[in-house]
Amino acid sequence: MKNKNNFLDRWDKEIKAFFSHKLGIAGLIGVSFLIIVAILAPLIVEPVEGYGAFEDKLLKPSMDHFFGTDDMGLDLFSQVVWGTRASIKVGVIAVSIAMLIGVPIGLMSGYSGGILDTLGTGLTDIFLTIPMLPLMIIVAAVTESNSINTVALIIGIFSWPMIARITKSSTLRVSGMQYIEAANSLGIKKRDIIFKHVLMNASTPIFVNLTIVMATSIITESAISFLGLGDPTTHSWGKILHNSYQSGAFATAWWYSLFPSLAIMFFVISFNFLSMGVRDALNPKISRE
Amino acid sequence: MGKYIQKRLFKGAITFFITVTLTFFIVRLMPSDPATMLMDPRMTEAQRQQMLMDFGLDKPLYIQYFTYIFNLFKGELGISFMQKREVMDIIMDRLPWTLLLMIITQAITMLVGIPLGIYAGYRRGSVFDQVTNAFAIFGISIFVPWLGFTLLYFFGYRLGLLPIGGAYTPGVEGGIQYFLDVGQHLILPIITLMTIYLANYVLYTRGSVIDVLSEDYIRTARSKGMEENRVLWKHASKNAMIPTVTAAGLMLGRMVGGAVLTETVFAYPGVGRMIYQAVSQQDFPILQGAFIILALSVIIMNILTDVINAYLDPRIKID
Amino acid sequence: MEKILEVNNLKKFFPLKTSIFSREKKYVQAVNDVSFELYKGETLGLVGESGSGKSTTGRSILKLIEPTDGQIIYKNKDITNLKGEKLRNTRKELQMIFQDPYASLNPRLTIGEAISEPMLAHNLYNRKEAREKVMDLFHSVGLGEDYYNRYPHQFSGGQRQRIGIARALGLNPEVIVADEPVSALDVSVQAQIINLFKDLQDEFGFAYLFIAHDLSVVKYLSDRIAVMYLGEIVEFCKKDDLFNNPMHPYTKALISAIPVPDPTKKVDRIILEGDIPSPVDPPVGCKFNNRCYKKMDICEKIHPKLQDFNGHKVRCHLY
Repeated sequence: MKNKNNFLDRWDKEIKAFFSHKLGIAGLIGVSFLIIVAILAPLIVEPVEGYGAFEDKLLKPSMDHFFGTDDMGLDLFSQVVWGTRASIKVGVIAVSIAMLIGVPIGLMSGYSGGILDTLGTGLTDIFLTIPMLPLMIIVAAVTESNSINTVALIIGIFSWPMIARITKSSTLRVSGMQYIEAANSLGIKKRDIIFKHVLMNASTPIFVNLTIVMATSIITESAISFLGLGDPTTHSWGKILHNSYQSGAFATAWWYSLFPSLAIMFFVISFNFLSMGVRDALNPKISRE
Repeated sequence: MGKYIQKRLFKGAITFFITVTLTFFIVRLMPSDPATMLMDPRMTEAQRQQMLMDFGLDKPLYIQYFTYIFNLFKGELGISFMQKREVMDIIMDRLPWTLLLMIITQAITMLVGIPLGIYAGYRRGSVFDQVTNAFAIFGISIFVPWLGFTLLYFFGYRLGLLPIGGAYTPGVEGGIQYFLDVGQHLILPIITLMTIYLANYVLYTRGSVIDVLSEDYIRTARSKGMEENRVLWKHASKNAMIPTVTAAGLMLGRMVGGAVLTETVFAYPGVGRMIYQAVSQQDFPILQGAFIILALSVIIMNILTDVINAYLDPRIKID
Repeated sequence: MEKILEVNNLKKFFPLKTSIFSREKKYVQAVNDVSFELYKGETLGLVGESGSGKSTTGRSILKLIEPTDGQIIYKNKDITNLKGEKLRNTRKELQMIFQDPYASLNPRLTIGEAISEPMLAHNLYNRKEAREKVMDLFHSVGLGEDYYNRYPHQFSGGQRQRIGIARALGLNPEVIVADEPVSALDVSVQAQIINLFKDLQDEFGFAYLFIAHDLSVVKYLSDRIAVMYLGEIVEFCKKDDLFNNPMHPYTKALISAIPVPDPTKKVDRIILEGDIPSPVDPPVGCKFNNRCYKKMDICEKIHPKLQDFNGHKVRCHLY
């Protein structure tokens, strides 16, 4: 038998289960589409800058302007396409940070127990209770740089409790397994037990939450941008909606707010479908949706 | 049970303590000059000196911290730049409106969402379930301000059925008239705020019911010949609801964010809209005070939900 | 014969979680004053029913569970209080084979990885050498070389147990504690694995502590046998002495329960009445007294000590 020690083999049961799940596949297609658009943005549209022509203001959708124009005369289709890039970027950064903080905390909590656990769980619970958006508003308002990276960073920093909690419960389940006891008896270093043996078996629910955090991070970013705290130079969908609200043309120029909102919806639904697909693929009892 | 309430109150107190400490450090340790944060740049020198003394801004950090905590307990949250009034007063004017909106929304969300979710989970795969599921998935991905505006546009402008903003019409006298008026004004904001969280509830409860129904003890109950309704109510729902009630507390925290957006769109005179205005006006004392008060409200509501949950779930009390 | 492992007065008590209101601490007395020696290359069978403490004893010796009291001496060094890196290094020489072949292998590692990992972790070989060593082990336990890249779920129970054995052997241990290694296997496979155990011991020369609840399994492999009941050793002697001249009533009952393949031979089965007492509240006097068919008055009052009759130890008032 050839050497097939790769990712696809380790998870072959789950991968098979995933592809039998319609919603999950739909989500995967949606997410892939978004990623491709984000990467290929410059090839699809021109960068949107400055002001458009006066006579181009608030034009209805047409063949020239698929999504119409905004109150500056700028093409909305381009803005939405570029916004995809911002959204994916925010999601990736936020998720990475949330994982970097949340996973180790959850692992330590779940495996070690004792004081580490009490501390970790306590911290997680407390941060879960605090209303995130107002806190992020304060942080965003107080930070001088409102770049999209900073916003993403902040979202990530406040999303870690979700990840920590799910990591902990998954770790608890795995830590009681006999192969973990076996690894200990074989003299494997504790650090390796936690970050290799436990993690590789506890990570499946974490993947589910990953996709959910991607979805919620765009909602949060849109809210922050909508309130005017976002990056003034980036065309995130929330920023477009902010402009739309400020322009006072919300009611008359329906396209100004519809398309960014649809984009957000598409993003969130895709990632949520993906998460459902992943979740059901990992749950042995519920294999059909 | 008493012991549990004690523990829970203690935990809430610690959470609040950490929250206010966090706020303190965020505002004061950010790159910008902290003094500017809390003092209106247009104050006269004499006023500045007075403020410096009142809030101890010229003293070392730890003294500032204790002054801050001490002031908090006195109920002093600072003075708004724009309105030149005590932040606490401003917030107290507006907090009841926000609480009204949030509590009614939360109540409707739970009363409607939980049964919907239970029934959808129970009749998994049926048309009802698929439709509910589809709506729920759309619901969680809707952008609150957009929904608010669309509703406002259609029902407010176009059809003129419902008021286009605010919480009440000035000039309406007290009594029944007032209630009805306020109620009218609340309809659209509640629908706007409710959508995401209702969808969340439905999905969550549905998932919970599906998990519970696949458990062995349900199979046992059914094989014992237990009537389906009883199975559903006695075993499934009660157990499925436990994680849902737990989630209620967390949803409340997130609902605050939704409230900020909803109030902004509907010009609803609550704390949320106040935050929006404070952001554009760079009125930091209000931001700080609003956050603390909101956090306190959420913490209190979480304690309540946890206690209710402990009442429902016998496992929690024995610990 | 060289003494390789000595266990003195081993105790393991597990604290019971009692309600907050009771001051008393209750313990499950899993292992209570167990002592024995293990000699190089021999097999010591440890037999008892569930709850007798045999598994706990095995795990305590390997420090997978921390002993409450007592001494563990390996190669004349006291390892009872070893921790950290020193403990990890010592683990090479004292290995365990687990009961459940399904649960003791990491489902996401190939078996080649699973076996080579400990060798690499202890820096015994480099990658290339480790791979060759794994192939050698495959030969020794009867697995094909092309199994290297397969995952545990692709194997049968008997094969997985072989994998577990190979993994334990990879570190060249001197002592192997086998915790009911065949209980989870089909009877037809049990015999193969037991034979494998014997062959491996002949080839590599390690000592076994073979834990089982079934005397017939232990009969073939053991040089000496210890019988445990409720955390204590009640009889301890050479194998032939045990089967030819069992002294403790419990042992006699166990032996009489072994199925005999000759249908014509009449067997006097001793059936024990009564329930096994709770390990939290062991009875005063002899722990076996409520089920013993040779009970005397003294048995209820005084706890019998382990007495040595020319190498045959027994804990009973009859002697």
